[in-house]
Amino acid sequence: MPDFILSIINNSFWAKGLSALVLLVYLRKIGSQAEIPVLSDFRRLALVLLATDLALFFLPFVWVFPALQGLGVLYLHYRILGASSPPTKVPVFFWIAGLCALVPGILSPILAWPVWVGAAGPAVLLLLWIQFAIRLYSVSEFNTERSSVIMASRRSLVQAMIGLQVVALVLVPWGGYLSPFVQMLAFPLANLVHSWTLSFWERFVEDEKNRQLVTMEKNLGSLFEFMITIGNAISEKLEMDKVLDFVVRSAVKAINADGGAVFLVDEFEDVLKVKAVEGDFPPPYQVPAKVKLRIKDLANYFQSTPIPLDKTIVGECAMTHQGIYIRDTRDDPRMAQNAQLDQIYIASIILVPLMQGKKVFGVLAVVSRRGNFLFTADHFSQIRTFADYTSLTINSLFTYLQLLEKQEMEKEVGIAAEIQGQLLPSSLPRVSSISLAAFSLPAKGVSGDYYDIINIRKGQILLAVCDVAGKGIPASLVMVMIRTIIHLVAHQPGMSVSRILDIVNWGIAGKVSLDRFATVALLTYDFVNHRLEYSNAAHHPLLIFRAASKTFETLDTEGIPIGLEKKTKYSQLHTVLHPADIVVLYTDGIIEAMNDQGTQYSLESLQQVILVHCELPPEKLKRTIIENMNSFVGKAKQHDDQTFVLMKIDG
Amino acid sequence: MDLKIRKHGETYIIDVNGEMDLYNSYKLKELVMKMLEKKVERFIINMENVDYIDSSGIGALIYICSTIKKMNLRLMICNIHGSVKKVIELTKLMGYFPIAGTVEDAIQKIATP
Repeated sequence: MPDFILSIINNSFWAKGLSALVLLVYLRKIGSQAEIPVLSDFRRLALVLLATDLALFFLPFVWVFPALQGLGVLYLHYRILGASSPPTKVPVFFWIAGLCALVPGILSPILAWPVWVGAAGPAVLLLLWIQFAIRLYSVSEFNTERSSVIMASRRSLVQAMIGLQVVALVLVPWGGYLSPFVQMLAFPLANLVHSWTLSFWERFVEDEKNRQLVTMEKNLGSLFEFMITIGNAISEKLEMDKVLDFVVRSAVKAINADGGAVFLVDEFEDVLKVKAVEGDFPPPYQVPAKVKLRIKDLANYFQSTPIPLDKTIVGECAMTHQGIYIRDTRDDPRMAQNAQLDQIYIASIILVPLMQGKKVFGVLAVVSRRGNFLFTADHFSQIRTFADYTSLTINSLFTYLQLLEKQEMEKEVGIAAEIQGQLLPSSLPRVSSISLAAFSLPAKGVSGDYYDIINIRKGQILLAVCDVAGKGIPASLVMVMIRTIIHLVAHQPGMSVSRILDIVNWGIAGKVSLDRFATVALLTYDFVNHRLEYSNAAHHPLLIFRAASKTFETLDTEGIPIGLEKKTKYSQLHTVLHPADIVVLYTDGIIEAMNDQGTQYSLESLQQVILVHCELPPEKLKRTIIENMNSFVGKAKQHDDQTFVLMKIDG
Repeated sequence: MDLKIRKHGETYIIDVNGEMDLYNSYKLKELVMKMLEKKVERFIINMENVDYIDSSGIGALIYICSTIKKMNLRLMICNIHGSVKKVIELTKLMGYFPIAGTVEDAIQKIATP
């Protein structure tokens, strides 16, 4: 048999081939998961082993290769450990010792050194592995992230690697690393331990992935459940308190917290008030010594004490609009008091702001009181999602409530319009010596305006124009009250317009809500002596067109609106009218009618139309005024009711 | 309409923004009532950013004003201008409301009973 072939067989060809095959399979296995840092280090490890085998195949008598392999393998194990526990750096002496082991290895084929020099490699590596073993055995679940996998695999790793070096050391007289026993048995066997360790890591990585998936699914599930339930809660009861209760309960349940609370911002006191508490939630701030630290007292104190916006961690969350996540209260000076006292002990806390638009309206907080259960960044992001969705829901709740209110108001306006339709005189009284015309157009279904024309006695007529603040049923009721009083008292002997206003005001003031005030203008006209009497409660002044001089006069008296103060007294003025004179009572809606450009129709325009068309009978003059006004405003929508009454003295 | 509250010593200044009309005047009323419950004693209503008021708005102001008067507390309405001022003049309420020029004037007036 040729020497070459013999040397191959002697050089443990089969064991090498087998171990190379195992390594190739191993490489292929990790290949697909190389994106995970730990696994890519195992891949490098396999490459190191393969490269050594290859090198030894061609240069079987150079023992520097096994030493190099040993160093490479150890270096990669340092890296693998370093990925889980940050302070693990490859120590400097590693490189120095490595150099000591390699130099004789490189030089030994050239210089004829005694056999025992071959011990340098295994000896140095043995020391290095012992050092690494000490490092590995210092790993505990408290100082290292993936301690479980390291702790499970370290024993066999250390045993195999140290065992290999010891065997090589013992066999130095027979060639050390290069002795057939080490090459054929010890190396292939020891290297199997890497596959073994890898299998632990693979299982761990797989588990970690599954855990993440499960957590994500759970998070999504609880959020989904939350959305559905909060939606139902809203459609059943439109109550803010209920919604907040539910939010805090769900948040606590979702992340398995010990307690949770919602604080709401009190707008004009710059404080946060506890609104809803779930479970066990101690105050996350310094509690004054005088509060007895009994659970019940503490809870009372917490519920009843507002938190200033510029104080405590809750205030900070509201002020900065930022969520706060404190994993371990012992690490944060803001929570020092809670880390020390048992009664208010908090192990971990998360606070997130609740926003309405750009404004913070509250803070959602959850705590863990178990030292062995600290919140994670996952919990934080989940609570943030809760808060976002809560903010969104409460925003739509507010909008919905407003919409409901508006609908309610519009419905009311419809009913009021009906009441009102029956208030205005259905036909104008026909009297000799004067002609009348009246116009009233509500802006939105129902009018706040009211006018009346009453024959109070033979030869005397009363005109009234009234504008009640607000709309809807309350305003209509005020209108009914005013109308009733006027109708009741106007006929009484010795009654004057100012006296009527006094009585109307006296009857209304204090009876209706103060924001239902009304402006009223009253006039009476006597056909016999042509005397007009006028009294005004904060309405527009009376407009009189004098036919003889073709000029306008206004008549006005002092006096605040009807309904404000019971003791208000109104005054009155009088004047004498002449044939063809025109008297105009009107409301805001006429002279303030606005066109697209935002210009108002104005008193001047009204006067101008009357001046030009003063010859027309009132009914026609009325139509002319309306036409003129309409052509002025065009298509612009009017927001105020429009009412005017014309009275012309026949001549 | 949008309401903002700020504090100057013991005085609460309500900044009203937008139109005061039928559909929102109640908000101001509600806010003041809430503040009264909380024992606020000095109010300034700043109308600087109100360009339109209708009779409901006036109604709300009357309501607030009379309630505060009845409780012997202090109120000032300031920065009324333009059409708001016209409406208040027309309804002859200039004398009824406690009116001040600027917020500073109001703060000064409210401090000297």
